[in-house]
Amino acid sequence: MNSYLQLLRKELLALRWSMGVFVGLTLIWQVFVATRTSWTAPVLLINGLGPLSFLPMWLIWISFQSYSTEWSNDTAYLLLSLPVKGWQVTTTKLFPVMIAFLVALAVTISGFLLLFGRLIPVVIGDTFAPLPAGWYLRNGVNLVVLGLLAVSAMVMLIHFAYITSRLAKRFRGPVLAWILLISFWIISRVGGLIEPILHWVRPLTFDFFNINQGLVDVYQFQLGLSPVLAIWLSIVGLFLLATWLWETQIEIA
Amino acid sequence: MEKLTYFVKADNLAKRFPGANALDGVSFQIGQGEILGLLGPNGSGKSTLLKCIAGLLKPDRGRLEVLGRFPNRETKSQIAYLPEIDYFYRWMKVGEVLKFVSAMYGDWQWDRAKELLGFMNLSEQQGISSLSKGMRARLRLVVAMARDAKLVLLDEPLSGLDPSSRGHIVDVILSEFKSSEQTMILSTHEIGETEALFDSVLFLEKGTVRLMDRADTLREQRNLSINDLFKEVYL
Repeated sequence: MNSYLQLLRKELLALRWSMGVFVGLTLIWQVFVATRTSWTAPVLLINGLGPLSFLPMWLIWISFQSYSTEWSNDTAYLLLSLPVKGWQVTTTKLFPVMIAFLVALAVTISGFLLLFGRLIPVVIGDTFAPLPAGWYLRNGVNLVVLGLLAVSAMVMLIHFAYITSRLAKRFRGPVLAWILLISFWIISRVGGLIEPILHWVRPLTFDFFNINQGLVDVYQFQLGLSPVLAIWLSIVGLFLLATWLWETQIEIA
Repeated sequence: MEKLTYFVKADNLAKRFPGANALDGVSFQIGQGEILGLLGPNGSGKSTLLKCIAGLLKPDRGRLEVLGRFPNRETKSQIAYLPEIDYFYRWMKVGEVLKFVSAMYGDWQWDRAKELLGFMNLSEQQGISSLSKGMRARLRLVVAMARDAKLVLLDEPLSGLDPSSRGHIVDVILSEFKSSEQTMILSTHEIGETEALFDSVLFLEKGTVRLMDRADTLREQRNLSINDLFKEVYL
């Protein structure tokens, strides 16, 4: 257990600079936008959430970096010589990226509400006022769950592609790109095969609304989770394969 | 529990990298309590052989037994491996490195680690990035020697150290080695300083074994020191 915590601590500390830069730049940008007096309220709101558009790119970057820096800094020698199970290494590289996602999301949303919250009623009027508090809560939780599934899938896929590409002795960059493409084909095929056995999973319910002559009409939209989970589980399968490869096949040249 | 006859047994070991045979039919064995000197010029396959034993490389051909089994996670827990290159996280402090490594091995000895830090003039507060190459080499040695590992693999432990401190480091290696429990393989081309350590020597050249025997036997038979024998073999 202590070895797992040390590995996790190492990964979290290794991410702190990158996380600090992303969060810092996000807040600087939001303060910059908030101090623009000539911009209209809708423009301010859209730009206040602007940093979120860079979040996926940043997550892809840190996912890739968490493994590639082990080789570029020669620390792979240390990591691969440790008598730890493969899953301990791969999951301690997965969870910090998820934590980074949640922290970046929380900071961006908090900064947005703090700096631009007063503008929201100005832009959308009293439209949202009659909506029950549960509307915000349920949709918010659903979005975070979907976000976590999407981010974990993306990180696991990148980690699988990187670890597998280390098996190649040459042309690792093109090999990595090729593995990513092949992975999409694999998860679509495997996902299609296991999707029928996941039909029992309850759909995710989102609340939407119509405004008709000043009256808000709330209605529900149900997102079937079985295809989403089938694809996610296919990616988990690739991640488990990466874990096995890490422990038994990856070498230091 | 069955007593191991050999701590390391290699039979016809081969490893190929693109464009070169790093190991080509290497066979040798080493028993408990021995210190084997792995000698050879650059590119002779010393580091590759140590990496195979440490479980960092898989041989393409041949049979390798380390502590009675093919190198795996279990053997890694009983091996103290010192690579030639700096493998520490640059953002860590010396104390953090020791804490990190100590959590991974059940045979870590904190008392010895602290004693070795003192010997090596290192402090737990120092940042890895602020250490000189020689100080980082000393830290690698602390990490390798602070354990009660059954098998100690040292790849060029004197590399990067100034000549004046090499004798001191060799003394540390010798004093920390427990011949009743441990076995050591030491790769080097700094033979002058390390010659006194060796029970056996293995000369490698282009991935093949050029010569292997007991160090005393070779000295008596050839009437040469191992250092002179090295020059005779390779020059």
